[in-house]
Amino acid sequence: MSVAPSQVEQPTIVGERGWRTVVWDDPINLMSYVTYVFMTHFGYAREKAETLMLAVHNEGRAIVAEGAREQMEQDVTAMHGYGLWATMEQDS
Amino acid sequence: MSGPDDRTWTLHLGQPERKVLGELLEQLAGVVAPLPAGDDPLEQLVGITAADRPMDPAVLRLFPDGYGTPEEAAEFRRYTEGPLRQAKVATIQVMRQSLESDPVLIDAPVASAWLRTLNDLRLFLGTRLEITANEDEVIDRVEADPQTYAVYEFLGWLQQSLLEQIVDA
Repeated sequence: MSVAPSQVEQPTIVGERGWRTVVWDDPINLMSYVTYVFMTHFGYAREKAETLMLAVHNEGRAIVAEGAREQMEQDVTAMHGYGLWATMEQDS
Repeated sequence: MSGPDDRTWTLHLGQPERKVLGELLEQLAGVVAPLPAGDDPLEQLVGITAADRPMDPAVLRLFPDGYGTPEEAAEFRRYTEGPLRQAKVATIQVMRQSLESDPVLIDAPVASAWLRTLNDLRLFLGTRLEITANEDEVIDRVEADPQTYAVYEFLGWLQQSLLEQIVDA
């Protein structure tokens, strides 16, 4: 289902904020595995996946994806399927 | 990775390792088995489970909260824990089947099942062992339960070996 953007008035939802998927550091998951998950699930290039993995490791958490609530719920569920500790939150 | 991944790997495992993995998979399958459905017919129909937040930290680590607030986390859990349990059971089954051949033949889907399941086993045992980022505390855990720690280390070695083949190749 797709409508050419020029043909529709883009609705403006006042107060609607985006959502984001956050992955948290934990002492058990291997760094190489976390990189693998970011490459496999999100399709990120290895360099970006490693940068995100290191951000999780060094800062305790990192935002790994942003978007609509439904998409972020799918991403969080997928991360749990891989055994990563992920939560979702709304942009502040 | 783009396009179909048609790589395959051969894994040689000794009989003791097969036995340990088989027993661990049986235990894990019991831990992640879907919970009994609730009494509500509508909830049964759409697959919603009345899943309470797991009390056991090792089980909670496999089915963590998806939101920071308890109310949102509970709602998220109602819709996601049931399907997540089913997915984990299916993934374990793929690994169990592949263990029936000797040597173990691993293609891309089987490799994914091994990585996920080895990780779930490490999360479960590691949480039980109370593994922390503090190395001094880890040494205490090793001394408290050297046998479980040896298994935990073996699983980590196996997972890392697979990752080196799959990601670095």
